[in-house]
Amino acid sequence: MLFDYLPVLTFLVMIVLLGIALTVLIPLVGPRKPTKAKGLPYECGIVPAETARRRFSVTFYLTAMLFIVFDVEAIFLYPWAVLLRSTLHVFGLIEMVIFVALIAVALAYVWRKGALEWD
Amino acid sequence: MIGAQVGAAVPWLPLHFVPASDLLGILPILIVGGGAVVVLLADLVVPRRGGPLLATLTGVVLLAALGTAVGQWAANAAHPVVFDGSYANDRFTLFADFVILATALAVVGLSPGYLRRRGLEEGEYYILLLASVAGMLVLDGALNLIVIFLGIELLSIPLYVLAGFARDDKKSQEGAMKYLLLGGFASAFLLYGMALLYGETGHTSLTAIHAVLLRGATAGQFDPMILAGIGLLVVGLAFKVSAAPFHWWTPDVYQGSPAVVTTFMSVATKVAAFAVFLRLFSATLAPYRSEWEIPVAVVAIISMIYGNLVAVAQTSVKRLLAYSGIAQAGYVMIGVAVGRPDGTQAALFYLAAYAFMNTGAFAVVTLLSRRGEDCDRYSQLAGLSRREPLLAGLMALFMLSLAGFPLTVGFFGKLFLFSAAIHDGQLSLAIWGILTSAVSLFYYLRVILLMYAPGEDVLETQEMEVAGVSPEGSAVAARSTASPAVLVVALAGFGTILLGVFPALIYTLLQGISVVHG
Repeated sequence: MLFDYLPVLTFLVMIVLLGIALTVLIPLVGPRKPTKAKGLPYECGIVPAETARRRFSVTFYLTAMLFIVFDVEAIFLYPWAVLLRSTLHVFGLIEMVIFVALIAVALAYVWRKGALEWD
Repeated sequence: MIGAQVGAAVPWLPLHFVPASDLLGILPILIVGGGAVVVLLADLVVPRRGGPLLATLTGVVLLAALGTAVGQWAANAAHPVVFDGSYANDRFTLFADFVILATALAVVGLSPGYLRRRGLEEGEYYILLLASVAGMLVLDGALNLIVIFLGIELLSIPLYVLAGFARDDKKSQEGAMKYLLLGGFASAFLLYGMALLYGETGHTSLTAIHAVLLRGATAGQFDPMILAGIGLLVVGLAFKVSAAPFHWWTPDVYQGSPAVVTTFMSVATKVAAFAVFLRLFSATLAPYRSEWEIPVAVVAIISMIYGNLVAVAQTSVKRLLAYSGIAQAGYVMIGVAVGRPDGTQAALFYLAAYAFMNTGAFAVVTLLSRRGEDCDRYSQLAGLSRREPLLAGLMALFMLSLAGFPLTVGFFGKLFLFSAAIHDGQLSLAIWGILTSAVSLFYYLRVILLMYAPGEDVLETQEMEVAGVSPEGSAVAARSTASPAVLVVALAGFGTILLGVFPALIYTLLQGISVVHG
């Protein structure tokens, strides 16, 4: 019975070994040619304008939460759009309409309660 | 998956609908869930302080769901299992639905007056309440590990928010934080147990898991991984029903939460969690009964002893009821440990009885609240019989019923559980139950004595000293503006006596109910 879990154990051991090997080998064999641009913090491809340790207004968390909600909605919409014609048909359409309607209700709620006002 | 065979004939034609029978099977959930959205939208358009209006709307939603459930009970569907065997809308589910929805209705009746007194009138309260009720309805009919987890999370997450609903009350915040952290911890235990069960059996469906376990058990093989999974399930569920030794959150959360939330939490959550407890243990995991019988019985006995002993030392009614709730969870666990249909029926009867007496007792606490605080300290109860003779009388009735006095519903609740244990040969459970019930008499009677003891009315004098308000101003005035709340307390008292004299009214409903798979 426990024997069935052998692949899981093998997988764990491999992960650990691979991790150790990569950490040890890369500094040993990799070439190092540091330039100023390589040393900059990565900010989605833009040249960093100022220090990263800035203070944010606490109201930003509401915007961030809303962003996540609509981000997740978009993530759902992509695979749904791909599969709609081939497999989901009207059933999928109805399901997505219900889902989007619920999110719209949430947006209306947030808007009306004033969470979109910055002050 | 659902309806795939229907649409196969004409691939582009939109026929992938959920069969109407599936939707019908979860109609109470749909009503409550849809109702939550409607109440949310209504909250946006009604003027501020539109509490009574939202309460009425919520009550209508719950009544509609209750009516649907009653209709489905009367229709007695032949194939109550829906959604590919992941939800059972059988009589077991419907009975749990009745208790949950009735409790929620009672809480909605208590809410408007209470929320106004404590300055907590926000529409979100009703939305979260409905969302939590929807989770409970999902949970009590779940036939699939995933659905069980979905139900538990859907009922818990709104409760975490509701527990901290008194935003300027430190105790409420503390309770909500403890509930959230420990609740998350318990969910992890539960999920781990489910993962082990799934890993060993390869199924999430309870029916399929049962078949695999039965095969192993008849061959005399008890898989250690499944035993570990069952152990983790016991921990996770015992947390939700607040059975000792997994009860640590209960007193602080019950005391800190606004009293209406505590009422809801202490009754409805317990019913839903025990429904899934009974379904898992007396049906799905029944083949492994010889292995889990002792641990479950031990949890029951520890709960009865610990809850009843610690309740003696309390000085707040809310904390007293929290510890008494731990003890009551222990009594219902007897029904889980007995397992057979009579154990299940006795547990369901006790839960229904508990809904009447505990909702009633908490409702009285709710009515005693005044501006900004709950008056739940013993010193504030002193002399209640003169200040509020009706409330004191009903409170005394609920206390007697919780203690299990004859002529109250609590007596028959305990009688059925103990006799089920004795029929099953589990004498020790019945003996511990009877002994600890005797202990519980002490603290329940103490509350009654406090209310009826002669002497000065501490609260009255305090209030006059502090604010110079006339003593008539508080609870009496509050009562006159909170007539639905008084109706709730009166109904709970009526039910406690009626079922104490005619327990058959409910017991006949339960005949023939047993937890089975589809």
